[in-house]
Amino acid sequence: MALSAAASSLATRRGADVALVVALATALGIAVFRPGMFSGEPGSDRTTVGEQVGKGIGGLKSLGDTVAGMFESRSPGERAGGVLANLKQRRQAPLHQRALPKIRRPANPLGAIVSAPPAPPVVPAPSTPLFNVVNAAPAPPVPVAAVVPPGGPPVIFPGFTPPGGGGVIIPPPQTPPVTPPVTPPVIPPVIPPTTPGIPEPATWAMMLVGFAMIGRRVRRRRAVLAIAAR
Amino acid sequence: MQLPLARSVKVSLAILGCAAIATVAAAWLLRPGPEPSSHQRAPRSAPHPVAALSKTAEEGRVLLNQAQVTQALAAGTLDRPVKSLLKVDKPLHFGEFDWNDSAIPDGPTWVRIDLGSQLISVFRGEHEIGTSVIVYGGDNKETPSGTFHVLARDKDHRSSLYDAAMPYTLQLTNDGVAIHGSIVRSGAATHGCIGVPLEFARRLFDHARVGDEVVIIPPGRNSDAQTAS
Repeated sequence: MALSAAASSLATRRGADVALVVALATALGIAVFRPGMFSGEPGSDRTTVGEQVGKGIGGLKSLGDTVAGMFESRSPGERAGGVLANLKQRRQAPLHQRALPKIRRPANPLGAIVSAPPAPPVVPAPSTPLFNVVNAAPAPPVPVAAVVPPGGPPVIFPGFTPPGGGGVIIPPPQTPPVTPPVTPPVIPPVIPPTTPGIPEPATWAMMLVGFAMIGRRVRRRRAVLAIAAR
Repeated sequence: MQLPLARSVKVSLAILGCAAIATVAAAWLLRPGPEPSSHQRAPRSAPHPVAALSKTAEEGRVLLNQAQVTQALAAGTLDRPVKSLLKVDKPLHFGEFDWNDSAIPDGPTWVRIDLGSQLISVFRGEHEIGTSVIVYGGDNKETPSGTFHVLARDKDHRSSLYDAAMPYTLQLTNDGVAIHGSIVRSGAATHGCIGVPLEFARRLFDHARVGDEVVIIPPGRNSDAQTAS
Protein backbone atom coordinates (compact mmCIF):
# COMPACT_ATOMS: atom_id res chain seq x y z
CA MET A 1 0.00 0.00 0.00
CA ALA A 2 1.39 3.32 -1.08
CA LEU A 3 0.62 5.13 2.10
CA SER A 4 2.18 2.55 4.31
CA ALA A 5 5.24 2.36 2.06
CA ALA A 6 5.74 6.10 2.15
CA ALA A 7 5.24 6.19 5.85
CA SER A 8 7.63 3.35 6.45
CA SER A 9 10.30 4.94 4.22
CA LEU A 10 10.04 8.02 6.38
CA ALA A 11 10.40 6.07 9.55
CA THR A 12 12.98 3.51 8.60
CA ARG A 13 15.09 4.11 11.64
CA ARG A 14 12.43 3.74 14.23
CA GLY A 15 11.24 0.22 14.40
CA ALA A 16 8.40 0.79 16.79
CA ASP A 17 7.16 3.76 14.79
CA VAL A 18 7.25 1.72 11.63
CA ALA A 19 5.11 -0.94 13.16
CA LEU A 20 2.66 1.63 14.43
CA VAL A 21 2.38 3.45 11.13
CA VAL A 22 1.92 0.23 9.21
CA ALA A 23 -0.81 -0.87 11.56
CA LEU A 24 -2.60 2.45 11.33
CA ALA A 25 -2.31 2.61 7.57
CA THR A 26 -3.66 -0.91 7.34
CA ALA A 27 -6.63 0.10 9.43
CA LEU A 28 -7.08 3.07 7.14
CA GLY A 29 -6.94 0.82 4.11
CA ILE A 30 -9.51 -1.50 5.57
CA ALA A 31 -11.75 1.43 6.29
CA VAL A 32 -11.42 2.81 2.79
CA PHE A 33 -11.84 -0.43 0.92
CA ARG A 34 -14.50 -1.84 3.13
CA PRO A 35 -17.23 -2.95 0.76
CA GLY A 36 -20.38 -0.91 0.92
CA MET A 37 -18.84 1.75 3.08
CA PHE A 38 -20.11 4.59 0.98
CA SER A 39 -23.40 3.03 0.07
CA GLY A 40 -25.03 3.85 3.34
CA GLU A 41 -27.87 5.81 1.83
CA PRO A 42 -31.24 4.41 2.71
CA GLY A 43 -32.87 2.25 0.19
CA SER A 44 -29.76 0.66 -1.24
CA ASP A 45 -30.94 -2.69 0.02
CA ARG A 46 -34.43 -2.10 -1.16
CA THR A 47 -34.21 -4.63 -3.93
CA THR A 48 -33.49 -7.39 -1.49
CA VAL A 49 -37.18 -7.68 -0.84
CA GLY A 50 -37.70 -8.32 -4.50
CA GLU A 51 -34.84 -10.75 -4.65
CA GLN A 52 -36.21 -12.67 -1.74
CA VAL A 53 -39.71 -13.07 -2.99
CA GLY A 54 -38.90 -13.29 -6.68
CA LYS A 55 -40.18 -11.14 -9.45
CA GLY A 56 -42.73 -13.48 -10.78
CA ILE A 57 -46.14 -12.16 -11.61
CA GLY A 58 -47.41 -15.64 -12.25
CA GLY A 59 -50.95 -16.28 -11.25
CA LEU A 60 -52.03 -12.72 -11.97
CA LYS A 61 -54.12 -12.30 -15.06
CA SER A 62 -53.87 -8.57 -15.59
CA LEU A 63 -52.61 -5.41 -14.00
CA GLY A 64 -56.01 -4.88 -12.42
CA ASP A 65 -55.38 -7.96 -10.31
CA THR A 66 -52.27 -6.53 -8.78
CA VAL A 67 -52.39 -4.56 -5.60
CA ALA A 68 -51.03 -1.53 -7.41
CA GLY A 69 -53.80 -1.90 -9.96
CA MET A 70 -56.40 -2.01 -7.20
CA PHE A 71 -55.02 1.14 -5.67
CA GLU A 72 -54.90 2.73 -9.10
CA SER A 73 -58.51 1.91 -9.83
CA ARG A 74 -59.72 3.81 -6.80
CA SER A 75 -57.34 6.71 -7.23
CA PRO A 76 -58.48 10.03 -8.67
CA GLY A 77 -55.23 10.05 -10.58
CA GLU A 78 -52.07 11.94 -10.15
CA ARG A 79 -52.25 15.55 -9.24
CA ALA A 80 -51.60 18.04 -11.98
CA GLY A 81 -48.26 19.74 -11.71
CA GLY A 82 -47.79 23.28 -10.61
CA VAL A 83 -50.41 23.21 -7.93
CA LEU A 84 -49.84 26.01 -5.54
CA ALA A 85 -50.36 25.76 -1.88
CA ASN A 86 -53.65 27.58 -1.73
CA LEU A 87 -55.38 26.07 1.25
CA LYS A 88 -53.87 28.09 4.00
CA GLN A 89 -52.29 31.46 4.20
CA ARG A 90 -49.27 32.20 6.25
CA ARG A 91 -50.23 34.09 9.32
CA GLN A 92 -49.68 37.81 9.19
CA ALA A 93 -47.23 39.11 11.71
CA PRO A 94 -49.08 41.10 14.34
CA LEU A 95 -48.66 44.81 14.01
CA HIS A 96 -46.94 46.25 16.98
CA GLN A 97 -44.95 49.29 17.94
CA ARG A 98 -41.65 48.88 19.60
CA ALA A 99 -39.58 51.42 21.48
CA LEU A 100 -41.64 54.34 20.39
CA PRO A 101 -42.12 57.22 22.80
CA LYS A 102 -45.47 58.15 24.09
CA ILE A 103 -46.84 60.85 21.90
CA ARG A 104 -49.50 62.93 23.52
CA ARG A 105 -51.70 64.28 20.85
CA PRO A 106 -54.30 66.92 21.64
CA ALA A 107 -57.79 66.20 20.67
CA ASN A 108 -57.70 69.07 18.23
CA PRO A 109 -54.14 70.24 17.71
CA LEU A 110 -55.12 73.02 15.34
CA GLY A 111 -57.61 74.44 17.83
CA ALA A 112 -55.03 74.28 20.60
CA ILE A 113 -52.65 76.36 18.57
CA VAL A 114 -55.30 78.82 17.55
CA SER A 115 -56.47 79.29 21.09
CA ALA A 116 -52.98 79.64 22.50
CA PRO A 117 -52.68 83.19 23.80
CA PRO A 118 -49.67 85.37 23.11
CA ALA A 119 -49.11 85.90 26.82
CA PRO A 120 -47.62 83.00 28.78
CA PRO A 121 -50.32 81.17 30.65
CA VAL A 122 -50.03 80.85 34.35
CA VAL A 123 -50.48 77.45 35.88
CA PRO A 124 -51.35 77.40 39.55
CA ALA A 125 -49.30 75.28 41.91
CA PRO A 126 -51.28 72.21 42.80
CA SER A 127 -50.39 72.25 46.50
CA THR A 128 -51.95 75.55 47.35
CA PRO A 129 -55.67 75.73 46.92
CA LEU A 130 -55.92 78.97 45.13
CA PHE A 131 -59.40 78.98 43.82
CA ASN A 132 -62.71 77.56 44.64
CA VAL A 133 -64.75 76.43 41.83
CA VAL A 134 -68.29 77.53 42.24
CA ASN A 135 -70.56 75.49 40.17
CA ALA A 136 -73.15 77.70 38.77
CA ALA A 137 -76.23 76.67 36.99
CA PRO A 138 -75.58 74.78 33.77
CA ALA A 139 -74.47 77.34 31.31
CA PRO A 140 -73.02 77.16 27.83
CA PRO A 141 -69.37 76.10 28.14
CA VAL A 142 -67.01 78.98 28.34
CA PRO A 143 -63.72 78.10 26.73
CA VAL A 144 -61.84 80.97 28.30
CA ALA A 145 -62.42 81.61 31.97
CA ALA A 146 -61.30 84.81 33.51
CA VAL A 147 -59.71 84.68 36.93
CA VAL A 148 -59.36 87.92 38.73
CA PRO A 149 -57.10 87.78 41.76
CA PRO A 150 -57.09 90.95 43.82
CA GLY A 151 -54.25 93.19 42.91
CA GLY A 152 -53.05 91.04 40.06
CA PRO A 153 -53.51 91.20 36.40
CA PRO A 154 -56.12 89.01 34.82
CA VAL A 155 -54.85 85.54 34.19
CA ILE A 156 -56.15 83.69 31.21
CA PHE A 157 -56.52 79.94 31.23
CA PRO A 158 -56.78 78.86 27.65
CA GLY A 159 -59.22 76.19 26.94
CA PHE A 160 -60.02 75.55 30.57
CA THR A 161 -63.53 74.38 31.13
CA PRO A 162 -64.70 74.00 34.68
CA PRO A 163 -66.27 70.67 35.49
CA GLY A 164 -69.65 72.11 36.13
CA GLY A 165 -70.26 72.89 32.54
CA GLY A 166 -69.17 76.46 33.02
CA GLY A 167 -68.99 79.04 35.73
CA VAL A 168 -66.96 81.75 37.25
CA ILE A 169 -63.82 81.05 39.18
CA ILE A 170 -63.31 83.38 42.07
CA PRO A 171 -60.41 83.35 44.50
CA PRO A 172 -60.96 82.55 48.15
CA PRO A 173 -61.14 85.70 50.22
CA GLN A 174 -58.64 84.74 52.94
CA THR A 175 -55.77 83.38 50.85
CA PRO A 176 -53.19 85.97 49.97
CA PRO A 177 -52.33 86.05 46.32
CA VAL A 178 -49.45 83.80 45.51
CA THR A 179 -47.69 84.21 42.25
CA PRO A 180 -47.82 80.83 40.66
CA PRO A 181 -44.71 79.48 39.00
CA VAL A 182 -44.58 80.41 35.40
CA THR A 183 -43.91 77.61 32.99
CA PRO A 184 -43.13 78.07 29.35
CA PRO A 185 -45.99 77.30 27.02
CA VAL A 186 -46.16 73.76 25.86
CA ILE A 187 -47.29 73.72 22.28
CA PRO A 188 -48.11 70.19 21.24
CA PRO A 189 -46.55 69.27 17.91
CA VAL A 190 -48.94 69.14 15.07
CA ILE A 191 -46.88 66.56 13.20
CA PRO A 192 -45.66 63.75 15.44
CA PRO A 193 -41.93 63.19 15.21
CA THR A 194 -41.02 60.44 12.79
CA THR A 195 -37.83 59.48 14.61
CA PRO A 196 -38.55 57.84 17.93
CA GLY A 197 -37.04 59.31 21.03
CA ILE A 198 -35.63 55.99 22.14
CA PRO A 199 -33.10 54.52 19.71
CA GLU A 200 -33.57 51.16 18.11
CA PRO A 201 -31.70 48.22 19.65
CA ALA A 202 -29.30 48.21 16.72
CA THR A 203 -28.49 51.82 17.41
CA TRP A 204 -27.90 51.00 21.05
CA ALA A 205 -25.61 48.16 20.05
CA MET A 206 -23.68 50.34 17.65
CA MET A 207 -23.30 52.99 20.30
CA LEU A 208 -22.04 50.47 22.84
CA VAL A 209 -19.59 49.07 20.32
CA GLY A 210 -18.39 52.57 19.61
CA PHE A 211 -17.88 53.27 23.28
CA ALA A 212 -16.05 50.00 23.65
CA MET A 213 -13.75 50.87 20.77
CA ILE A 214 -13.08 54.30 22.18
CA GLY A 215 -12.33 52.79 25.56
CA ARG A 216 -9.99 50.30 24.02
CA ARG A 217 -8.14 52.98 22.15
CA VAL A 218 -7.82 55.02 25.30
CA ARG A 219 -6.50 52.06 27.26
CA ARG A 220 -4.03 51.16 24.54
CA ARG A 221 -2.92 54.73 24.26
CA ARG A 222 -2.39 54.88 28.01
CA ALA A 223 -0.40 51.69 27.94
CA VAL A 224 1.75 52.91 25.06
CA LEU A 225 2.34 56.21 26.79
CA ALA A 226 3.26 54.43 29.98
CA ILE A 227 5.75 52.27 28.11
CA ALA A 228 7.13 55.30 26.30
CA ALA A 229 7.51 57.18 29.57
CA ARG A 230 9.78 54.53 31.01
CA MET B 1 22.01 7.47 16.07
CA GLN B 2 20.34 10.81 16.21
CA LEU B 3 18.10 11.82 13.38
CA PRO B 4 18.34 15.32 11.93
CA LEU B 5 15.76 17.60 13.47
CA ALA B 6 13.75 18.24 10.28
CA ARG B 7 13.55 14.56 9.55
CA SER B 8 12.38 13.61 13.00
CA VAL B 9 9.73 16.32 12.82
CA LYS B 10 8.57 14.94 9.48
CA VAL B 11 8.33 11.47 10.88
CA SER B 12 6.42 12.65 13.89
CA LEU B 13 4.01 14.55 11.70
CA ALA B 14 3.47 11.51 9.50
CA ILE B 15 2.75 9.37 12.52
CA LEU B 16 0.37 11.92 13.94
CA GLY B 17 -1.45 12.28 10.63
CA CYS B 18 -1.80 8.54 10.23
CA ALA B 19 -3.05 8.27 13.79
CA ALA B 20 -5.66 10.92 13.15
CA ILE B 21 -6.83 9.26 9.95
CA ALA B 22 -6.89 5.88 11.61
CA THR B 23 -8.92 7.28 14.48
CA VAL B 24 -11.49 8.63 12.06
CA ALA B 25 -11.52 5.33 10.21
CA ALA B 26 -11.98 3.38 13.42
CA ALA B 27 -14.79 5.68 14.47
CA TRP B 28 -16.42 5.11 11.09
CA LEU B 29 -16.04 1.38 11.44
CA LEU B 30 -17.46 1.32 14.92
CA ARG B 31 -20.27 3.77 14.22
CA PRO B 32 -23.74 2.61 15.13
CA GLY B 33 -25.60 1.29 12.16
CA PRO B 34 -28.38 3.32 10.61
CA GLU B 35 -31.84 2.87 11.96
CA PRO B 36 -33.33 0.18 9.78
CA SER B 37 -36.28 1.56 7.89
CA SER B 38 -39.13 -0.55 6.88
CA HIS B 39 -37.94 -0.51 3.27
CA GLN B 40 -34.77 -2.29 4.25
CA ARG B 41 -36.45 -4.75 6.47
CA ALA B 42 -37.34 -8.12 5.20
CA PRO B 43 -41.05 -8.60 4.89
CA ARG B 44 -42.46 -9.35 8.25
CA SER B 45 -43.92 -12.59 9.13
CA ALA B 46 -47.50 -12.55 10.18
CA PRO B 47 -47.70 -10.99 13.64
CA HIS B 48 -50.51 -13.21 14.69
CA PRO B 49 -51.65 -16.60 13.52
CA VAL B 50 -53.55 -16.58 10.29
CA ALA B 51 -57.16 -16.24 11.14
CA ALA B 52 -59.65 -16.45 8.37
CA LEU B 53 -62.04 -13.56 8.27
CA SER B 54 -65.60 -14.23 9.09
CA LYS B 55 -68.19 -14.10 6.37
CA THR B 56 -69.45 -10.70 7.48
CA ALA B 57 -65.94 -9.33 7.51
CA GLU B 58 -65.28 -10.56 4.01
CA GLU B 59 -68.09 -8.49 2.58
CA GLY B 60 -66.83 -5.51 0.68
CA ARG B 61 -63.27 -6.79 0.71
CA VAL B 62 -60.84 -8.16 -1.79
CA LEU B 63 -58.87 -11.02 -0.33
CA LEU B 64 -55.38 -11.07 -1.76
CA ASN B 65 -53.76 -14.29 -2.81
CA GLN B 66 -50.14 -15.15 -2.34
CA ALA B 67 -49.15 -14.20 -5.89
CA GLN B 68 -50.66 -10.76 -5.54
CA VAL B 69 -48.91 -10.14 -2.24
CA THR B 70 -45.62 -11.43 -3.63
CA GLN B 71 -45.87 -9.19 -6.64
CA ALA B 72 -46.83 -6.16 -4.53
CA LEU B 73 -43.90 -6.74 -2.20
CA ALA B 74 -41.56 -7.16 -5.15
CA ALA B 75 -42.81 -4.04 -6.86
CA GLY B 76 -42.66 -2.02 -3.69
CA THR B 77 -46.36 -1.28 -3.66
CA LEU B 78 -46.53 -2.76 -0.20
CA ASP B 79 -43.77 -3.08 2.32
CA ARG B 80 -45.38 -5.81 4.35
CA PRO B 81 -47.82 -8.62 3.70
CA VAL B 82 -51.44 -7.65 3.45
CA LYS B 83 -54.33 -10.06 3.37
CA SER B 84 -57.25 -7.95 2.26
CA LEU B 85 -58.08 -4.60 0.79
CA LEU B 86 -61.31 -2.69 0.75
CA LYS B 87 -63.33 -3.27 -2.38
CA VAL B 88 -63.57 0.12 -4.03
CA ASP B 89 -64.79 -0.34 -7.55
CA LYS B 90 -64.94 3.21 -8.73
CA PRO B 91 -62.45 6.03 -8.42
CA LEU B 92 -63.01 7.95 -5.22
CA HIS B 93 -63.95 11.59 -5.53
CA PHE B 94 -62.19 14.28 -3.57
CA GLY B 95 -63.67 14.32 -0.12
CA GLU B 96 -64.96 10.75 -0.36
CA PHE B 97 -63.70 7.95 1.77
CA ASP B 98 -64.43 4.33 2.54
CA TRP B 99 -64.24 2.85 6.01
CA ASN B 100 -65.07 -0.69 7.02
CA ASP B 101 -63.55 -2.26 10.08
CA SER B 102 -66.37 -4.54 11.08
CA ALA B 103 -65.21 -7.88 12.39
CA ILE B 104 -61.59 -7.18 11.61
CA PRO B 105 -59.35 -8.77 14.21
CA ASP B 106 -57.10 -6.64 16.35
CA GLY B 107 -53.70 -5.72 15.12
CA PRO B 108 -51.30 -2.84 14.91
CA THR B 109 -52.64 0.17 13.09
CA TRP B 110 -50.48 1.46 10.29
CA VAL B 111 -51.06 3.87 7.47
CA ARG B 112 -49.95 3.79 3.87
CA ILE B 113 -50.01 7.08 2.01
CA ASP B 114 -49.34 7.13 -1.71
CA LEU B 115 -48.76 10.67 -2.86
CA GLY B 116 -48.73 9.68 -6.53
CA SER B 117 -52.23 8.24 -6.52
CA GLN B 118 -53.35 10.69 -3.80
CA LEU B 119 -54.60 7.90 -1.56
CA ILE B 120 -54.38 7.03 2.08
CA SER B 121 -55.01 3.53 3.37
CA VAL B 122 -55.43 2.67 7.01
CA PHE B 123 -54.62 -0.89 7.96
CA ARG B 124 -55.36 -2.87 11.05
CA GLY B 125 -52.89 -5.65 11.04
CA GLU B 126 -53.06 -7.15 7.58
CA HIS B 127 -56.45 -5.79 6.60
CA GLU B 128 -57.30 -2.44 5.16
CA ILE B 129 -60.01 -0.71 7.13
CA GLY B 130 -60.15 2.72 5.55
CA THR B 131 -59.16 4.61 2.45
CA SER B 132 -59.61 8.11 1.20
CA VAL B 133 -58.34 10.71 -1.21
CA ILE B 134 -55.82 13.10 0.25
CA VAL B 135 -54.34 16.46 -0.46
CA TYR B 136 -50.66 16.88 0.14
CA GLY B 137 -47.84 19.36 -0.04
CA GLY B 138 -47.47 21.74 -2.95
CA ASP B 139 -44.47 22.39 -5.09
CA ASN B 140 -42.52 24.45 -2.66
CA LYS B 141 -43.70 22.67 0.47
CA GLU B 142 -43.38 19.05 -0.44
CA THR B 143 -44.59 16.31 1.80
CA PRO B 144 -41.66 14.20 2.99
CA SER B 145 -41.61 10.54 2.11
CA GLY B 146 -40.44 7.57 4.10
CA THR B 147 -41.53 5.79 7.22
CA PHE B 148 -42.72 7.93 10.08
CA HIS B 149 -44.28 7.35 13.43
CA VAL B 150 -47.11 9.25 15.00
CA LEU B 151 -45.36 11.63 17.36
CA ALA B 152 -48.38 13.25 18.92
CA ARG B 153 -52.14 13.37 18.72
CA ASP B 154 -54.12 16.55 19.08
CA LYS B 155 -57.82 16.70 18.52
CA ASP B 156 -58.11 20.46 18.19
CA HIS B 157 -54.75 21.55 17.00
CA ARG B 158 -54.17 24.97 15.53
CA SER B 159 -51.24 25.56 13.26
CA SER B 160 -48.78 27.90 14.85
CA LEU B 161 -47.17 28.58 11.48
CA TYR B 162 -50.23 29.24 9.41
CA ASP B 163 -52.84 30.05 12.01
CA ALA B 164 -55.14 27.44 10.56
CA ALA B 165 -57.26 24.80 12.19
CA MET B 166 -55.82 21.28 12.05
CA PRO B 167 -58.56 19.08 13.50
CA TYR B 168 -57.64 15.52 14.49
CA THR B 169 -53.94 16.05 14.05
CA LEU B 170 -51.55 13.13 13.98
CA GLN B 171 -48.14 14.71 14.01
CA LEU B 172 -45.50 12.91 11.98
CA THR B 173 -42.40 15.09 11.98
CA ASN B 174 -40.87 17.50 14.37
CA ASP B 175 -41.25 20.35 11.94
CA GLY B 176 -44.99 20.02 11.94
CA VAL B 177 -45.96 17.72 9.09
CA ALA B 178 -49.10 15.92 10.16
CA ILE B 179 -52.18 14.08 9.02
CA HIS B 180 -55.24 16.14 9.82
CA GLY B 181 -58.73 16.93 8.73
CA SER B 182 -58.86 19.34 5.86
CA ILE B 183 -60.78 20.53 2.86
CA VAL B 184 -60.10 17.90 0.24
CA ARG B 185 -60.76 19.19 -3.23
CA SER B 186 -59.20 18.76 -6.59
CA GLY B 187 -56.21 20.91 -7.35
CA ALA B 188 -55.65 21.87 -3.75
CA ALA B 189 -52.41 21.45 -1.92
CA THR B 190 -51.08 21.92 1.57
CA HIS B 191 -47.90 23.23 3.10
CA GLY B 192 -46.63 19.69 3.55
CA CYS B 193 -49.32 18.14 5.68
CA ILE B 194 -51.56 15.32 4.59
CA GLY B 195 -55.13 16.55 4.43
CA VAL B 196 -57.95 14.02 4.72
CA PRO B 197 -61.71 14.50 4.95
CA LEU B 198 -62.81 15.53 8.41
CA GLU B 199 -64.87 12.45 9.23
CA PHE B 200 -62.10 10.20 7.96
CA ALA B 201 -59.65 12.15 10.09
CA ARG B 202 -61.85 11.60 13.13
CA ARG B 203 -61.95 7.84 12.60
CA LEU B 204 -58.26 7.65 11.92
CA PHE B 205 -57.62 9.74 15.02
CA ASP B 206 -59.67 7.33 17.09
CA HIS B 207 -57.67 4.37 15.84
CA ALA B 208 -54.14 5.71 15.70
CA ARG B 209 -51.91 5.82 18.72
CA VAL B 210 -48.60 7.51 19.29
CA GLY B 211 -45.90 5.38 17.72
CA ASP B 212 -48.00 3.91 14.95
CA GLU B 213 -46.26 3.63 11.62
CA VAL B 214 -47.05 5.83 8.65
CA VAL B 215 -45.45 4.97 5.33
CA ILE B 216 -45.45 7.79 2.79
CA ILE B 217 -44.64 6.77 -0.76
CA PRO B 218 -43.36 9.62 -2.90
CA PRO B 219 -45.02 10.46 -6.21
CA GLY B 220 -43.69 8.56 -9.21
CA ARG B 221 -42.64 5.57 -7.17
CA ASN B 222 -45.69 3.53 -7.92
CA SER B 223 -45.65 4.11 -11.66
CA ASP B 224 -42.00 3.12 -11.71
CA ALA B 225 -42.84 -0.05 -9.86
CA GLN B 226 -45.56 -0.88 -12.33
CA THR B 227 -43.41 -0.37 -15.37
CA ALA B 228 -40.66 -2.39 -13.78
CA SER B 229 -42.85 -5.34 -13.11
